[in-house]
Amino acid sequence: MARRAARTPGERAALVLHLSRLGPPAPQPHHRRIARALLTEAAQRHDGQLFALGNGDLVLLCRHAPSPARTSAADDPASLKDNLARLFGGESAEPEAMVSLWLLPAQEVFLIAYATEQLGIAERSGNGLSPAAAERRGAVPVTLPAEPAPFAASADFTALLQRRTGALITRSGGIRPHSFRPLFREIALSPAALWARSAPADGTGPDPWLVRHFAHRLDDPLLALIEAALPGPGPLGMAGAPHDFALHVNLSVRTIVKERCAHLFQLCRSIGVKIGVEVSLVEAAAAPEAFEAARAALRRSGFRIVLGGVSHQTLRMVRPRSLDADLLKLDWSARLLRLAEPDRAALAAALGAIGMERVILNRADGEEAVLWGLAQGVGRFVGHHVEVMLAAGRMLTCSAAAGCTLGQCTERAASATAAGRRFCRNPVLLDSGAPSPGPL
Amino acid sequence: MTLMRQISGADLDTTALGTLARDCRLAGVERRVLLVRLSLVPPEHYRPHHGRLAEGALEPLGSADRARLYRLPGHDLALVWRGDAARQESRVLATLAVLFAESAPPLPCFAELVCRFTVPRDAERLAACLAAPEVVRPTAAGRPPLDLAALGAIERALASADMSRFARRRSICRRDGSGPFRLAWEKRFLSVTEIGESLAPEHDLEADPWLFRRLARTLDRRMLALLSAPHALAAAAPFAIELSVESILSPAFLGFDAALPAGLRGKIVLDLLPADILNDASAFLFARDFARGRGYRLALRAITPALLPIVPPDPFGVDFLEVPYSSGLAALPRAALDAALPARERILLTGIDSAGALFWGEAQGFALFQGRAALPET
Repeated sequence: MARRAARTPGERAALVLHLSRLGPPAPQPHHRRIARALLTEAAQRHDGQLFALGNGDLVLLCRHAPSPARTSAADDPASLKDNLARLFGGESAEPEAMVSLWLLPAQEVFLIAYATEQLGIAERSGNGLSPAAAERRGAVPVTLPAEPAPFAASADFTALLQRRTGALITRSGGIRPHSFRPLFREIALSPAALWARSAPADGTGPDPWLVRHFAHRLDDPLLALIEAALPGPGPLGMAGAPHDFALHVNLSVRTIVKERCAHLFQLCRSIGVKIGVEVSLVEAAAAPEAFEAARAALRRSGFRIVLGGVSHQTLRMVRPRSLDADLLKLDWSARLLRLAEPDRAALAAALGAIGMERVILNRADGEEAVLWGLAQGVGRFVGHHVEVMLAAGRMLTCSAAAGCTLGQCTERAASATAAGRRFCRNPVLLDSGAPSPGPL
Repeated sequence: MTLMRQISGADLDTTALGTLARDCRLAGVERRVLLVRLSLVPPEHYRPHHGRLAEGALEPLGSADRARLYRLPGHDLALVWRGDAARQESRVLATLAVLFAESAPPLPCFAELVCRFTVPRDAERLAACLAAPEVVRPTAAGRPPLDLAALGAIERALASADMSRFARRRSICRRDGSGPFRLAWEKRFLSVTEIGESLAPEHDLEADPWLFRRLARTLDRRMLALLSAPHALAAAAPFAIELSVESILSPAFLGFDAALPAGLRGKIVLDLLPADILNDASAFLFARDFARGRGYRLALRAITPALLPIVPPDPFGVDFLEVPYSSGLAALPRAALDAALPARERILLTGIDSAGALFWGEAQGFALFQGRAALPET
C-alpha cells in the first residue's frame, strides 16, 4: 500500500493517526469510531483512501495538491493533522506524536519505514482484540440483566466484595513496610465482580449506570452482612482492631439517611468502631441535597463522609471542597506524571485548598503512585502497593509465615470470603489492622 | 370596568406585566401597582367568589390613567395605573379590607394579601411577591420506581414506537434592551412524562436515578434517529438537544452529524448533565473537543442552587449554563449569585413561567430565558 501510494503520480500525502499510542484504557471504541468518521470524511474530500492497521492506527492516503473545491485552510491535510493532534493528544503521553503527515513522494521513505515496522509487529504479535469485538465490548447492552437475586448464602455475597486497607505513610526515608500505618479497612462491592455476576450474555462491557443501580440495590444486604460480622473476628469483623482503625463502607446517599443505616451507626458507637462512608462524586453531583443530608446524618453520628470517584480531571471541573467531605479519594493515573505545568499547578492548588491531610491517593497500585503522592504532600494511600507493603510487614512478624509467599498474603488480605483466606494460619494478624512493629 | 383590557390567560398576563415593568425601568417612567395575592389562600380554602369579590373591589381604580388589570397565575390580580389616583386607591383598599381583613386563618393577613408598589423602584420586591410556587411533579408521586423488568419493557416498546408523538419543542428566547423576545433557539426533546404515562404508567421513571440515566441514554439514541430522518431538519430553526456524553460519541450521533444541513452547523446546542460528565471525565473532554470541532455548542443543564457552589464559574469549558428558576435561586444573595454566575450572557434561565420569575431574571441581568412568561413574538 505504501509503495503503491509513493508511485501514484501527483502530490499526495499520507496521514497516520497513531491510535496505538493512546495511553490505556484508550483506545476505546469511541476513539476508533470518531477517528474513522473524521478520516472517512477527509478521504472523500481529498480523493483519498483509508486503511485500518492491526494495531488500531488509521492511515489516510490522499491528494495534497490544492483543490478548486477547497474553501478554507481547515480543509488542508496539515490542518487536519493539527485538529486530530488536538483531539486525540489529550489522552496520549506524547500528544505531538499522535499524528504523522508525510508528503509523497518526497517523504516516502518515512511511510515505507512505518509500514514495514507495522508489518513486523503484526506478524510477531497478532492483532489482539478485533475492532468488532472491541466495539461490542464498548456497546450498551441491549438485553437488560435481571435484578440482583437474593443471595442464598453469605458466601455468594461476600464473593462480590473487595477488602482493602488504607494506610498512612508515617516516616520519611523510603517506602518500607514499617512506614505504612493501617488507617482503615475498606469494604466495597467490586463493580467487576458485580457485572460478571449480572451481565447479559451478549459480550457487552459494564454499563456504569446499571452497575450503580445494582450496587444501590445491594446496600441493604451489605449493611446486614456488616452488621452481623462487625463485632466478631474475620474478614468483615473489627474485633481486636486498634481503636483508631476505622471501617469504610461504600453506600449510596439514599441509603445513608435510612433507618437501616442508623442501626449500623448505633452498633458501631456501642462497640467503639469508627466508621466512614464513601459516596461517589457522581452521586453527590446528581443529588447534592441528598449528599448534604447524608453528610449531616453521618456527622450527627460522629462519623465521616468520604468522597470517592475523583480524578485529576474532575478536580478541575468541580469544586469538591464545597462538598465539605471529611476525606477525598483522588484516583491515581499514570497521566499525573506527565501533566503540563499549568495543569500540575492547578492540581496542586486544588489539593492544597482541600487540605493534604484530607486527601487519600486511591489506586496506588505501584510504587510510582506512592512516590508521586508523597512528593505532593499526600500521606494517605489505598491500592495494591499498599496491600503488598502491609503484607510484607505482616510476614516479617508472623510466626506462621513459613511457606507463605508475599503474593498469597496480599491476596488473602484482600479477600472477604472464608475460601479466599483458608490457607492463612494466622488470620488474627491478617485482620488485625495493626501497624508493623518496625524495621527488624 | 371598561378601561381594563382583558387578556386571554394568566400566562400572557404575566408576560405582559413583566414587559411593562421592564419598560418602566428602561424608560424611567413610574407606574403604581396594587397586587391582590389570592395565591396565598390555601387551595383547599380558595373559592371562586374570592376572585370575583376582589375583582369587583378593584373597579374604582379602573378609572385611573392607563389602568390595566392583570390576571396572574394562582388567581393573583395586579392592577397597574399611572399617576395619582389616591382617592380611588383608598376606596379600593377600604373595600378589600372589609372583604378580606376580617377573615380568620387560614386566610393570610391583610398586609400580605394586598400589597402596593411603585415600579420600577419596587420591581424586585414585586418580583419576589410574584415568584411562582415551586413546581411539584404530581403525576409520578407514590408510584414505585422503575425496575429492570419495567425498563426492559419500555426499551422494547421504544424500539418500535413512533417517537414523533413524544417529540416536543420549547422556545429559548433572548431579549436585549427593551425589545421583544426573540427566538434564540428551540429545545427539542422527548417528553419523559408522556413516555411514562404511555409505556409505564404504574412506575415513576425518574425515582431510580441510575436506571433513569440508562433510559435517558436510550432516548438520546431515539431522538438522534428521529432528527436524522430524511427531511427532518429541512426547515428547522437552530435547536438544542439533551444528550449524554456517551451518546455524543455513539454511531447514532455520527449519523445525525452526517445528516445535519449545512445551514444548521454551528447553531446546535448539546445539553449535558454534570453528573454524566463526572461519570467519565476523560470521555467528556474528548466528546467536548470533538463536538466543538464539528461546530456544536455545549451547555450544562440543571444547575440548581445546590450545585452552584460545586460548579466553578467557567465549568467544563462549555458555552452555556442552564439554570432552572426557583425560589431557592431567587433567595440567593446577589453577591453569591454574582460569584457563582459572573457571565450572565452565558446563562439560560429556565422555568420562567411567571412575571415574578421574569422580573427577577431581568433585574439580575439575565437575557436568555425559557418559559411561559418569555415567549417569542409571533
